[in-house]
Amino acid sequence: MRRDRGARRWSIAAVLLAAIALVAAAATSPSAQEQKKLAVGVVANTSDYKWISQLLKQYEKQTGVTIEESQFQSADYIAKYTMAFEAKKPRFDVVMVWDFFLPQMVAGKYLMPLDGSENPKIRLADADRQDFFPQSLKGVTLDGHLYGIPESLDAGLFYYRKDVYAQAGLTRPPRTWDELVEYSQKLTKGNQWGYSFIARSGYTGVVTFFELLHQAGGTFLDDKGLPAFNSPAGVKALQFMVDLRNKYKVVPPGVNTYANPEVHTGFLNGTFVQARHWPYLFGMAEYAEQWGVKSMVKGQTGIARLPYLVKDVSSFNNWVYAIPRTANNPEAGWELIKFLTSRESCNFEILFGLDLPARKSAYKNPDIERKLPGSREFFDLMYGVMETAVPYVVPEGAPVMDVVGREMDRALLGSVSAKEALDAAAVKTRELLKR
Amino acid sequence: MRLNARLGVASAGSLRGLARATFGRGLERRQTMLAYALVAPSLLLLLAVMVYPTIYTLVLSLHTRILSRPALGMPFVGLGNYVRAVRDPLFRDVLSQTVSFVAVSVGIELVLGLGLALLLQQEFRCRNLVRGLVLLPWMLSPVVAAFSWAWLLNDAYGLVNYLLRQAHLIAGPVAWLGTEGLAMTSIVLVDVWREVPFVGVVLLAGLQSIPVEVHEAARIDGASRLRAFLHVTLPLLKPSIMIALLMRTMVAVRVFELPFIMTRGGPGSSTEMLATYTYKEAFQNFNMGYASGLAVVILLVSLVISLLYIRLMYSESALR
Repeated sequence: MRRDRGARRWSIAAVLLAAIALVAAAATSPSAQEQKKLAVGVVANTSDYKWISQLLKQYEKQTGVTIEESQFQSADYIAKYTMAFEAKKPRFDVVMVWDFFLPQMVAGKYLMPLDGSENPKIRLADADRQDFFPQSLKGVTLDGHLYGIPESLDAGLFYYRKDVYAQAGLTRPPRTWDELVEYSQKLTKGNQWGYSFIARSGYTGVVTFFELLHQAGGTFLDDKGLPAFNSPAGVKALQFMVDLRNKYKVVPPGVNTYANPEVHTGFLNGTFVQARHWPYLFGMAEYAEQWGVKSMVKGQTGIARLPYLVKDVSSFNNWVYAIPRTANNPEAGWELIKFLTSRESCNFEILFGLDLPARKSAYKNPDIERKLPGSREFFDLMYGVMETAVPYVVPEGAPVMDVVGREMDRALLGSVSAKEALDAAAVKTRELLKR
Repeated sequence: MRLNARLGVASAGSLRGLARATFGRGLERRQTMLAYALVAPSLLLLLAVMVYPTIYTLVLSLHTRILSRPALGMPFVGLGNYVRAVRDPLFRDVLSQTVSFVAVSVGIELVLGLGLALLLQQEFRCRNLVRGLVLLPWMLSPVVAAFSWAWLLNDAYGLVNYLLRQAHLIAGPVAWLGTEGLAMTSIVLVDVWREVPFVGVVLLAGLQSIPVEVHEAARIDGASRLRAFLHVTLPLLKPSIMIALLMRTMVAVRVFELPFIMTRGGPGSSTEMLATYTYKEAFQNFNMGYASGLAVVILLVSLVISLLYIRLMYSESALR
């Protein structure tokens, strides 16, 4: 009798355990329904999002997969992603990230490698690898592993106004820093400024210094990964920025508050005659209707490689797709990335979005000239720039550039010399990299 | 208790006594249980959304936790993060800038808000319409306000410089947001523009609650307008002033949108505030331990200020 009761108790316990196990299994493994859903994080206030949203809809139609899109802003998406990765909610399958943040995210073990080293099914095929600009893959390869697939390129370009050049008797864009000063002095008058660039305090603004540093023959970190930007080349680069503002007075005094919108607006409304800016400005200036903006410089936008001191280089960044380690369905996420970065999608990106894909083959598309007359020069220029461009990606990017940005600002305001600013930034950077 | 008595509010103890006398102990216990049961959901919610995160932040502030360095783990560092903050010259600058911002902006807002309240209390045509219109800046989202002012203050093509140049008040462009002193002044002014209506409305409500008879008595006693304002209106308005100050100070200590959008804390770090600095440490630099320490500092600063205000508010003079 007691044994019967004992046996009954055991069987009830076994049934209960089995039920719990079933519920737990159901809760942890993605159901068929879930496999048909993909959670995607996108940065919506970018030029890229316009065509990405179209491609996402197309993918839903083609595959029957439902895409649950979470839209973020460039100012806070890293914070939102980090919180999601830490809380494991939502479990993004794919995220759109600026490659600048990849080293921090990879160091935090938030992202999966996309080279098959962890999951053989998640691997960029060799043929595809050959098609991407080598430079664009360099910025997303960390410790020998690929962590992001580039979807569009952002390299520094030189913009100028053809009509104002003609009035001033200038026949070609400047090729050297000295020429840039000479041109800018000639073109600065009244409410019109000869030159402008991004120099806002913080990691986005340091890109201009980073680029000038490489043009002066320097590097940001040395071979051992230690700060090398306070070299003579670095001092020349920062001093050049300071002089443009304070000595030659050819850039607006508030240039140290300028991010992308301030520079492109000033160029589009004719206040800035020359500017260092990203490729998207060309589309805004010349195909304003498609962008839904006003351009007072349509038909007058000249583009060229940036003037340089020693090395003819631009800095660049990619927006990339990555797969978080917390993804519910990484393999399905990978399929979506393959679609979004396919040759067909890259062609769509150029023709619909006037954006610059990371695949070389897209630039050879014969439809470009037919559908976007007058744009061939721009795409050819971009192709050439990318062959030597330097990725603006460094370890601990945000904190390091924050430190450099603060010191850069102090030099721009004349509180300290360029050398003092860079030495102070180098000391703090060393501490940050040591942690 | 004295306060409750003055305000005519029955205390929990007196209610319990009344219930015991009327219905006996059984009913009293059932009612107490019911009261707890009714309060429990809200209490649990409060625990979940307020107490737990606060305790977790406190615990995190005693550890090193750098998200981009998971290999470090989460070692206990005691008060290390606080010591670091005290030794960090940037933090000291940020703290002093935040305190200056709060003192100056809330001070100006109080003076202008009081003026606005006195103005809006007067009888004039379309008074209600004007009362509604002056609230507009406050109704605007701080993000929208920050973006709008950043454009208006742009040195090369902003409206402010354009108008000043047209009026021959400036010779060349002024970098409102790009010069150290001016950037902070600009942020203070935008904050004042946004918040004066709020202070004005709170004080207007206070003014309207002062009985007309008190003013009439002062007038009959021969008090001038200024004396009546200083010795009648102002003392009776003190509780409203305290509430306005408390609410504004709490928000100003945590100011984020204006400096983050208008200057990103620059130029240099001249407009960096406690909230923006904490945000950058947490979500740009991934330094959660240190950022939690900074968050606790914000909490403590807010707590000390609110306790001071509350103490002042309920002091004898405030109730007089």
